[in-house]
Amino acid sequence: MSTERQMVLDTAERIFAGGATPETMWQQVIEAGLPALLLPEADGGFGGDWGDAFSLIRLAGYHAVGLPLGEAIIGVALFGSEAISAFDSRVVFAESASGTLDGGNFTGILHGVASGRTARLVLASIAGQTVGLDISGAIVTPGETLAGDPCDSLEFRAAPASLCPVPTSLFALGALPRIAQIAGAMDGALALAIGHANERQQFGKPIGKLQAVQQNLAVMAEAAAAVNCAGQAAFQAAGQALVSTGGAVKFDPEFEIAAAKLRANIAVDAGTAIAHQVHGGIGFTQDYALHRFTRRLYVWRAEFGNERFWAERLGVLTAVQGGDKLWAYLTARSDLVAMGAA
Amino acid sequence: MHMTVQTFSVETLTPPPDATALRNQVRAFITANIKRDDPRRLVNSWAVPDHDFTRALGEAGYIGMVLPTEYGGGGRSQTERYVVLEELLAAGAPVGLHWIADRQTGPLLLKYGTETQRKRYLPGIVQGKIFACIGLSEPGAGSDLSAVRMRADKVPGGWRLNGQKLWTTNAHHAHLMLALVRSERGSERHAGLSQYLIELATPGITIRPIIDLAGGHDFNEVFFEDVFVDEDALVGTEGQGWAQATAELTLERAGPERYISSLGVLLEFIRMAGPAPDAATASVIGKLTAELWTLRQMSMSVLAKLASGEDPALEATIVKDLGNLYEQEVVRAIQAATPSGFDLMGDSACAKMLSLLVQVAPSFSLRGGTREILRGIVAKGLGLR
Repeated sequence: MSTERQMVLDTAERIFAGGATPETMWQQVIEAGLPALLLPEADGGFGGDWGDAFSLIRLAGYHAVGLPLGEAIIGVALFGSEAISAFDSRVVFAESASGTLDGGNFTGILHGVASGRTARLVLASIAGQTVGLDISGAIVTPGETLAGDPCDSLEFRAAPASLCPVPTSLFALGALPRIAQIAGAMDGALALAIGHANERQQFGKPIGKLQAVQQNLAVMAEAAAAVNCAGQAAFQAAGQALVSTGGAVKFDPEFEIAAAKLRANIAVDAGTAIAHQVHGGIGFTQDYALHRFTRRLYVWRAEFGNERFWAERLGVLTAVQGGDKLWAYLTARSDLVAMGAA
Repeated sequence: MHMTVQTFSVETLTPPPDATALRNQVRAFITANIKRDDPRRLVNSWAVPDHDFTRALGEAGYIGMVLPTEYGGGGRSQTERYVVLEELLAAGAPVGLHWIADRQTGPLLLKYGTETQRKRYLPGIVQGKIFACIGLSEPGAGSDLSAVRMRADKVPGGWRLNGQKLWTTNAHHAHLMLALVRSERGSERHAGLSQYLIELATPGITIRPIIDLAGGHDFNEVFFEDVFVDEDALVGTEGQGWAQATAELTLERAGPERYISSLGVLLEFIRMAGPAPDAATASVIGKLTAELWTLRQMSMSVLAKLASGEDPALEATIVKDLGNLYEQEVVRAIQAATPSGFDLMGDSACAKMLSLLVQVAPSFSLRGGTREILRGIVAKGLGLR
């Protein structure tokens, strides 16, 4: 990573750790230009790659930040610099949509829009097409996730929808930020658990000296390691997809995203259960920070594809290759992605 | 970023520029040389001895690939070797005979060995003619390796060895044993240990088989009674055996074999399920594939670190534990998901593979460091003491 990109991460770290209210923090994130991470420097971005995007979104998760930063980063990359100039980088995704596209105008309701009330542009998949909708004409029904983060419904009436071509389903692209957020939150909860285990004295010693506790935390750390590795690889695959959409190679990163989101969802089991077990009663209180991680992990593992959804989808994608071709399929894809990243 | 915990530093493996061509060459070699008569061989890859295959592999230049050419090695890159290894394992190729020599003994001799030792053994290892085993465990030293009691006493012109090694994989095929031995009288724990490269044809050595619960013969017990070895048998520095042996364990734990070795049964299950499986079957395939894909990314990340000269000991330990869990889960999940009427004792390839794997799977989390030892290492890496 270049020095400049490391500076982006340092800036982000200061913002995420600053403890501002969500609305203020979102403003700070936008003023720092973080959503423009993937745009070329000539277009006012940082010229970051998708590995950087993973690192930045992961960092938000590490600080239990529930802002739709990942959607903004990917949305700006897809929509281009107009997302910044016309929509202040406030781009979000709808998890699902009901309604109709008629002559390029959308009438219907978008559901599961994180921070929809403060966003300006929403990307949604309607009738098999990905479109962008200006939120200023929408009726907002506010809602919130069980972790207390805003998650709204947006109702549109004959709103002009602009086509936004994507290299895979918008649903899969929406899963990407959640993978990185889970990776970060797993490590954030792990850091709390390690700190607690080294401080909390029972039986005349820190509980972190007890083998039963050590073995459990190792299991949690391994789960976090798996998500971090899977997430990094899925983001690189997505980067390959965007690189190649303009050229001859068409690369749909759904396979990698499916595998990584599924792995992340599964890892949340070990992550949340062990973090709470190690913390005992203190981790169950509103005052202590653990629930800021664990309650978001329960939300993020369900958003943009739960375990059942991605297991079945990945199973189908795999079965289509068949036992004879699966290995060649896996290696050809990873060789291609690694070459693209090199 | 300095404040954050991240247990696994991810590095992207850059494949060799000719990866596709190399994969195709290896696949063609495997097709021409592998015996497909018994499906069980395909899921027991690195435990299957096959002299013809190993010899042909050596001739093709796929053993000792990263060793320098002056010792007969290929002078190739770590990433080229990795591509070849994962292709061999994914195909279930019988690599049992030369596996340890290629993975551990060759690199160890290159790092710590004398010129005499290198010239004497490396060319034979590369040709697939010299095989090795690792002498670590003893009756009183399993997970607690520092309890090693086998002894080396200095005598004129060399050393005299006495003691016993246990659970020694492939001792009955190997020409050499790389043993961890107590070379300083009265020393305790990690001190006073040295590594010796012992030719197993030396008088005074007795090898007895240990037959496993499925009837297989991988393990042996090896007895040493007043075995004389010359000074050249010492590898590296006298008294530094512990540090050398643990560095070697990283090589043992870092490879792709820890998650690919059960791939054959997953592929067979996918064949059985067909291109349009029902939702429950698709879900099982999806979960196993997600973990396979993730472990491969992790394994490649470990190799990337190794190739850039870093020490990925902690990452390798994590991959081994997750890899072993996965190999066991593949077996459990597939047996649980076979359709009603599936006969575990039947003639299908899937049944033959499963019937072997369900029996040997418990050993996956015992070999090369038990699950508990590995997690202890991870916990220590987390700063828990």
